[in-house]
This record gives sequence, structure tokens and C-alpha cells, in this order.
Amino acid sequence: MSEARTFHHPALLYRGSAEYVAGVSAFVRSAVRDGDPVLVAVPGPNLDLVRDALTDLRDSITVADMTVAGRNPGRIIPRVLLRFAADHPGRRVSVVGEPIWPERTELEYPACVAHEALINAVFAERDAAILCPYDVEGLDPAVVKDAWSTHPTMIQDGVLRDSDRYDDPAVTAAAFNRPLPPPAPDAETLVYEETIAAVRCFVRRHAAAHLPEDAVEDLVLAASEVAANTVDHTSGPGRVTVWTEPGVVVCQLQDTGHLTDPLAGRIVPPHISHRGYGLILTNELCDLVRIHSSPSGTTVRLHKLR
Amino acid sequence: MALLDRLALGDHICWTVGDDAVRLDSLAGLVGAGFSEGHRVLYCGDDSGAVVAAVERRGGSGDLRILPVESSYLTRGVFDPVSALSFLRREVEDARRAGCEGLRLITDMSWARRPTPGADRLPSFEAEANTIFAEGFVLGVCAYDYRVFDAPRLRDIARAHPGIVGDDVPFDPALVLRMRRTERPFGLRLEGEVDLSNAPALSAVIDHLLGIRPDREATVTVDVEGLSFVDTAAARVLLGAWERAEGRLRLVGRSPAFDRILEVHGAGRIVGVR
Repeated sequence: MSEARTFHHPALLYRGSAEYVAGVSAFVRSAVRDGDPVLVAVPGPNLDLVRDALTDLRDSITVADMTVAGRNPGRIIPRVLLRFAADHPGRRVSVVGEPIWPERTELEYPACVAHEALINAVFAERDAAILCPYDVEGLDPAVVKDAWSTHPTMIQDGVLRDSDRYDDPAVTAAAFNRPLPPPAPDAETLVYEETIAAVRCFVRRHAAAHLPEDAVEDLVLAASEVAANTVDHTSGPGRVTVWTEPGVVVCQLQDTGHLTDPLAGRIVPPHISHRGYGLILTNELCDLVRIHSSPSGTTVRLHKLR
Repeated sequence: MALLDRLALGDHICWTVGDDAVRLDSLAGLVGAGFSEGHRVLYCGDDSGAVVAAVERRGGSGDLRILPVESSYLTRGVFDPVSALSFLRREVEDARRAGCEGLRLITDMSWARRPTPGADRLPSFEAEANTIFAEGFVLGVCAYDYRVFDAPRLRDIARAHPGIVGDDVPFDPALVLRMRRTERPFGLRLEGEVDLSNAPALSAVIDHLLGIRPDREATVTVDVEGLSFVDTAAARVLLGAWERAEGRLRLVGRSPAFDRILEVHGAGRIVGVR
């Protein structure tokens, strides 16, 4: 008979594509056999490996390129995982989610670890299994070490065992609530108080030369939502700063507020009358959202790829 | 270009001004523009003498009515939103009967700095007044001197207006919300930008429309095609109204960006909005 309906969140530590395919295929085949809807959200090349190995299950699994769907780690829980669960109400879902790959940047990484930790909080009471493959050969050893704190169980050399370093999700997320490097020296800054429209004009003016029109408006809307939080939740002014880095337009908003809920922007509020949709939308619109918050203020950094 | 040149009937602007010379000059300009457009101009405020003198220096003439706040917004020294709205409606009727092209209501709100019972209800009055402005016959400019109002109070008042103008950047219709009633279909047409900073104004008008539907089965149609910007605070107003109306609210002319915001709110499951 089926085991107790609980949340499983193992990390799969793999070396090489053969071990990858074996580990992922075993998980997917078992889930399909149990009748679970299955989502495989992994980086493109790995997705090809999985597809080739599971051609017979092509019609039974949903796939997504995680470098697109989960480019912004803050978007994976609401957009990829919870959305898939919501599409299959009342059913146990199984997901292969690979949010961390060797090309993830130093700036993206803390958001990835926070994401991995917070999955445990969001899915604690849910009937689901999420397998997270970690490329032991390609990733920095410190990254693999962090996987032991964010996953209650580990699959190593094909053997499932408990992680002896698994930590409380909130504690891990707090440990990765890290200060951001300073903006570029030539960055443009605007101080704003009540007029969110001024923030939009400013971001539009400075992003327009570097992004296609749709992408500019995505960034403008995201910045407007963050600025609205400043206006709504703080008494002091905010600062918006825009600059470019290779391949990306960066927009940063700083205010005197303290964002204490690490799940803000990751879980949809219970009802449309609630606040909290702004950060969900921001996560959806941007390629990276990094938040650093402390009692002395909050910094939200938004990335839009060029 | 003068600060308040591009206003149209139906606009309702919170004008935060802290410079007396700019204020007087712009007020006189507003009155003069009203004369040339055949509007009745109604000035309510303390400094009427100075405003009249400035208007006379400009040499314009027309239908100008001047009322002290004591006989317009205040009743026996008390501010009561219900009586203030009745006063507004009476003035609108008067101007309509007189065959005016429109009514220009210019109010110097500085009276509200004096300790006046009921003055804390200004935000709800300003929000409710939008139902009158949305009819498209009245243009309202409410001058608030930011030197005499504290910031949180002025913020609540400003949010009840669909648009806010300072004393440095000219009014730009593209950056405020324009709301205009439509009869066929029964509802409202929106243009410009709507966000957290003017969502309460939208909320008041939508709630009013839900309340005055011809019958309980009637649908309110909100034409959003002219909106160039919507945020989640504004979407929350519209979705909340949709829910209270049990689905009898249609949003037509939605942009892809608007749909995306609705989708984030789970509107994929809110059939009536789609």
C-alpha cells in the first residue's frame, strides 16, 4: 500500500549524466506508477537527457526548462511548484526541480538557497515529493554542502538517507538574507516619497535605452510595486537606483521598512482582498529578485536580462 | 506651459502647492481658462479678494461665483461630507440649468488647517466627490498648501483624488487617472494611470456604481482600454468589486499587462473577469 501522505524533499547528488538519468528516471517512473502528476523542471540540457530516457512516458509528464521558468529563484515556488499543484487539486504531485546549476551567479545563489530552504516551509503540510538534483562535479563543494541544510533527506550513491545537517527553513533563509554589493559608480538615483509615478518615469527613462519595450515595462511595473510597498509600509523616503551590468539592467529600491516574512512574494495570499500580490508579481516579472532586509531597512534588487 | 493647462471636465485634482505666487498665478489662470471655455467658475476659499484681483489683472471676464467656505463646505462651522456633497450637487444642477458648458470648481482647502469639527473626514468626502466628477460636467482643483498640512494627513487626502499635481511639474493627463461615466453600457471608462496612490478614488466610484445599478442583475462595465498603467493595488479594487457584485462587473479592453496582474491574483479561476 502507499506510504503515509507527507512531503518528501530529497536532494539527488549525482556525478555524470548516467547517474543523473538513473536517479531521475527511477523517481519519475515510481511517481507515474503511483498515479501522481509529474513535473520535470530542470535546465535545458538535462531536460533533453530526461526526455530521451523517458520517451515512453512522454504523455504522462509535464516538462519545463528551469533556466527559463525558474530563472528567478523567487518565482519557482509560486509559479512552478504551487501552480503545478494547483493544476491538480486534491492529488499528490511529484516534481523534479533543479534550481541550482553551475552557471548560477554569486548574486543569484543566496536567493537559490533561500528558495530551497523555504520549499520545506511551504510544502510542510502538503502531499508532494520534490527531488532536487545537484551536480556534484559541476557545482562548488560549498553549494553541495548547503544542500545538506536545505534537504531533510539525501540520495547519495543511489542510497536514500537522512541529512544530519538539515536545518530549520527560517534559520537557513535568514542566514542567506545577505547584504548586496554596492551599485555601479555611475548609477542614477532618485529619492521618492509619495509619488510612485515618479519612480516609474525614472525607471522607464533609464532602462529604455538598454531593453526592449516589453522588458522595460516589466521592470517599471516591478519597481512600481516595490515602491508602493515603501509608500504603504514606511514613513520615510525611498531611493531607487538604476544601472547596467554586463547582460543585465539592474534596478534597486531601498527604504526604511523591515520585511520580516521570508515567504513574502512566494506564497499567494489567501484572498484577493489581501496585500502581498505585489511581490509575487515582481518575482514573476524579473529575472532575479534579491531582498536584503534588516531592522535598519530593506533593499530590493531587480534584474532584467538584456 | 502653465501648471494646470491641460485639465478637462471630469478631472479632479489634488494640487499640493506651497508657493503663494505660483498659487495665485495658477488660480487666476484656471479661472481665465474657465471663462474662455464657457464654464461657470466657482471659487471657494479664503483668499477670494487676491484671486479676483489677479483675474482682473489678466483682463478676462465670465461667469464667476465666489463663495466663502462657511457657506459652501461648512455648515455652522462643521465639516460634514454629506452636506458638502449636497452643496456640490446643488451647484452642479444650478450650472446645468443655467446652460453652462461645464462647472469649474476651484477650492482653496486651507480652511481645513483651522480646527474644524469633521475635517478628519475630508478624505472620504474627496473620494465620494469623484462620483460627481465622473459625470464629466465638473472639473475640480483642490488646492492644499503642503506647508500647513502634515504629511500623513495630506497623503490620505491626495489618495482620494484620481490625480495629484505639485507646484513644479505641470499637470500631465497621461500620469493621472481619468474616470468618466458611461450609460451604454452602464459603467465607467478609465484612462491614464491607476495605482496605490489613487486607488481609493477608483474604489469610491466603483462602489457607487455598484450601488446605483438599474437593478440587481445589471452588470457594471468598466472600460480599461485607455489605462496605460495598472498595479496590484488597483487590481485589488476591481477584483474586490467584482466579488461584491457576484461577478456582475466586466473589465473590457484589458491589456496583456493587466491580464497578467489578474492572473497573479488567480483570475484564471475568476471566470466573469475573463
